[in-house]
Amino acid sequence: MSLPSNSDVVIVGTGVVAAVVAEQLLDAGLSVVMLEAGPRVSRAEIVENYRNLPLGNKGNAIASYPSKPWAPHPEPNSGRPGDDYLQVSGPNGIGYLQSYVRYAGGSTWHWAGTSWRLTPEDMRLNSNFGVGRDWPFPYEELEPYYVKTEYKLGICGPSDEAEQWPQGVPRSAPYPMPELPFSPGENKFTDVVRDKLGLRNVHVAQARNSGTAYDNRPACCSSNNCVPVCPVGAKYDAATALGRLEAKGAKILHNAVVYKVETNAQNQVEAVNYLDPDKQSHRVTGKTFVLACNGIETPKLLLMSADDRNPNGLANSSDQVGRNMMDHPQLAYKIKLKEPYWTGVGPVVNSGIMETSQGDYRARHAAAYFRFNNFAQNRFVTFDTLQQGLVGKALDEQLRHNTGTSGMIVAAHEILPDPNNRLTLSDKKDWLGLPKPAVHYDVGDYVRRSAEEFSGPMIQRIAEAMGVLEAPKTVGFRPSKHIMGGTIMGTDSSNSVVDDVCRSHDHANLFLPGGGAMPSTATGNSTITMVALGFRAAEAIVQQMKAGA
Amino acid sequence: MSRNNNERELQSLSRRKLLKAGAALGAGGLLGVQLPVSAALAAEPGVAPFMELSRLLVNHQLDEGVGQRMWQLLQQENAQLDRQVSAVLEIAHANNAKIVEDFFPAIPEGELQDLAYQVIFGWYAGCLNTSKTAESFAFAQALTFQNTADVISIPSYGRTGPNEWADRPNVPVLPLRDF
Ligand SMILES: Cc1cc2nc3c(=O)[nH]c(=O)nc-3n(C[C@H](O)[C@H](O)[C@H](O)COP(=O)(O)OP(=O)(O)OC[C@H]3O[C@@H](n4cnc5c(N)ncnc54)[C@H](O)[C@@H]3O)c2cc1C
Ligand code: SF4
Repeated sequence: MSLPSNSDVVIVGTGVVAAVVAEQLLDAGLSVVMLEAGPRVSRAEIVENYRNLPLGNKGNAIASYPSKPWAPHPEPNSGRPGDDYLQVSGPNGIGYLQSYVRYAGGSTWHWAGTSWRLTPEDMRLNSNFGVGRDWPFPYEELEPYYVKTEYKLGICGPSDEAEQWPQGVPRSAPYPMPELPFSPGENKFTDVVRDKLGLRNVHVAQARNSGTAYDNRPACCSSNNCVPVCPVGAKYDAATALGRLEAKGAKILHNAVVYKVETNAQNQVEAVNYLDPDKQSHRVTGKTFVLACNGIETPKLLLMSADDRNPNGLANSSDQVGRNMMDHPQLAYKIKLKEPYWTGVGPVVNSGIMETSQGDYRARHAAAYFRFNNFAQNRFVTFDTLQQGLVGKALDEQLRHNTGTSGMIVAAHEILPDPNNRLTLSDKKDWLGLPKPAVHYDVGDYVRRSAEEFSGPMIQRIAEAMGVLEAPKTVGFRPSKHIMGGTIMGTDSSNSVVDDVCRSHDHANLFLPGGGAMPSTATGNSTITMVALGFRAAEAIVQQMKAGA
Repeated sequence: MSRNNNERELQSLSRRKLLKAGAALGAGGLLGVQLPVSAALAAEPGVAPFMELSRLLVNHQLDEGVGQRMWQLLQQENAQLDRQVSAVLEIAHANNAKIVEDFFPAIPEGELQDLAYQVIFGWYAGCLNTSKTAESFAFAQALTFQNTADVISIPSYGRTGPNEWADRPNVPVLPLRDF
């Protein structure tokens, strides 16, 4: 096979960050090759996988995406290649058992599409509250890239300023589409928390076509299956962009697992090496390199690429690669309601209480936002109900009752960057013989204090306001799958990995856009910020290449 | 069975909306797609009694394609299936049963009641047990989804036209949908 050689830009990954960076570069006239570890699959195949799952496994978002032996992704308790791929340890190890998809298109295949922007305060935690890290630039500089992201992905949201997040912060452009309607349960929830607790449950800004087609994709038709897969592509996922990238000239290689990034005598990146499913190695050269493999796979690849000049791994003179691993530690609570709420019309997540996520209390404990998920409850209540021994009309009534009166409320927390929350290379190997990623994780006192003093009590107040049969319980911190921090951004090259445009401090032609760069997490789902950083990096790459040319 | 006007109205309303969204309507109240029926399985002597029993144990329109697949799986794990089906059917006949309530209390505890519960489980869940690796023989046709299809979506099946689900009333749990 003839490999593309010396392209202007080599991008590793075809997830949302990679896809957005690639398109900007192609539009600027640069040549782009993309290397993707996993296979290219059709939407129909994934939808069939989902529909054929037994009821007992329908709630498992990764089960519709069986990983390939050469590109394992975490698939806990599955007996599949990804079974113990991601090794977790530490006080909250299980809280970092992330889920992501190593297929062309990446993890937006099964994301929910929730797209909260950061607030100006979220980017200045250290200055404002004396905790965590500040961003090297202010919100005003990020804002235009948020707009680009909202238009590229097709993010719908409210036009009423009182409903927008962040509140009271000007937007330079409206959302490209209006907000999506609430389900009956969300309407009721919104009324209840407003009337009883004075809280505002607002429409989620989400990457989903609202009321209209957009980006050659159809409007959302309320099939309530965004996680694990939107059957019609009304939700943005990066797989929907790949054909367009190819039409613009991108060359995409699939089943190409990059395992080593190579530097030259000037410590610039010169090539990447990948293994194919026959375990054969190939080398791809280029001028500029972008690693957009997600917050776990990018630091892993950097560590794997250690060489004589960079004995601790590439981009790692600061020793921060793989440190500061973050997410939004979440506490989920199943609730049994006295009256029916009926979730399960419209998207699976469609509203949230964001206003609780700001305040001076962040000097003491983590912020949290709260939401009432909108998943249809059938799959969660059917087995228990069937085991009650009812038949006929009594069974139908009980089943219907349990479906309409069950639900889940969630508290999603911010977390601080802690160098001890660390990704390393496990001595366990995957099918290709590459090291599996290992993450040590402790949510820390800042988050635990929040759960004790703030988010836990707030959940109980919300549950009580909704009218629950008993006080809800949680099984403890679980991941939100928003992987951040492992290639952290900063101005000081001695304690950060990338600069303010996601360029590695150590290698001027190596860019690491995405969640890894984020110095603070805030509480809201962060892919929109990862993509905004991708836009900013792409602009810098174009400038740098034009200046060099 | 007679139904009141409200129920009928609710159901025809949801049908109109589904038709508008282009979803297929199965015959007699089952929403969504029906599974293909196998002629070879239909000729199996055990299938007709199994379907007859199923229709007595579950008071709804049943999809024959689903029944065939469930029968095949049950047969693989239970060598006594045909005998047990006949035994429960006999009890139903002896009670002149038209619906499950007419004869269920007469089914003795033990293997016959277990079978009856398992058949009901299968029709509602689309699989025979709660395991993550159970074989699935029905999804949209599984009655747990049909039971609430007038109010909420069957995941992955389109429900309405663009944003047409706005301002739906928060309906009470009852009345039940007839399906
Ligand atoms: C169930 C679920 C729900 C979610 N919901 C939301 C949400 O509502 N809102 C939100 O903001 N976020 C959500 N997320 C998170 C979101 O999916 C990720 O933040 C986002 O996909 C990250 O994009 P990315 O491009 O950085 O990485 P990915 O999408 O993971 O893409 C990385 C790509 O790199 C490829 N790759 C990896 N390693 C290699 C290698 N060695 N060689 C070549 N290619 C490689 C992968 O195959 C993949 O294509 C959710 C995640 C999950 C699991
Ligand atoms: S509700 Fe259905 S159509 Fe709409 S985005 Fe989610 S999966 Fe797609």
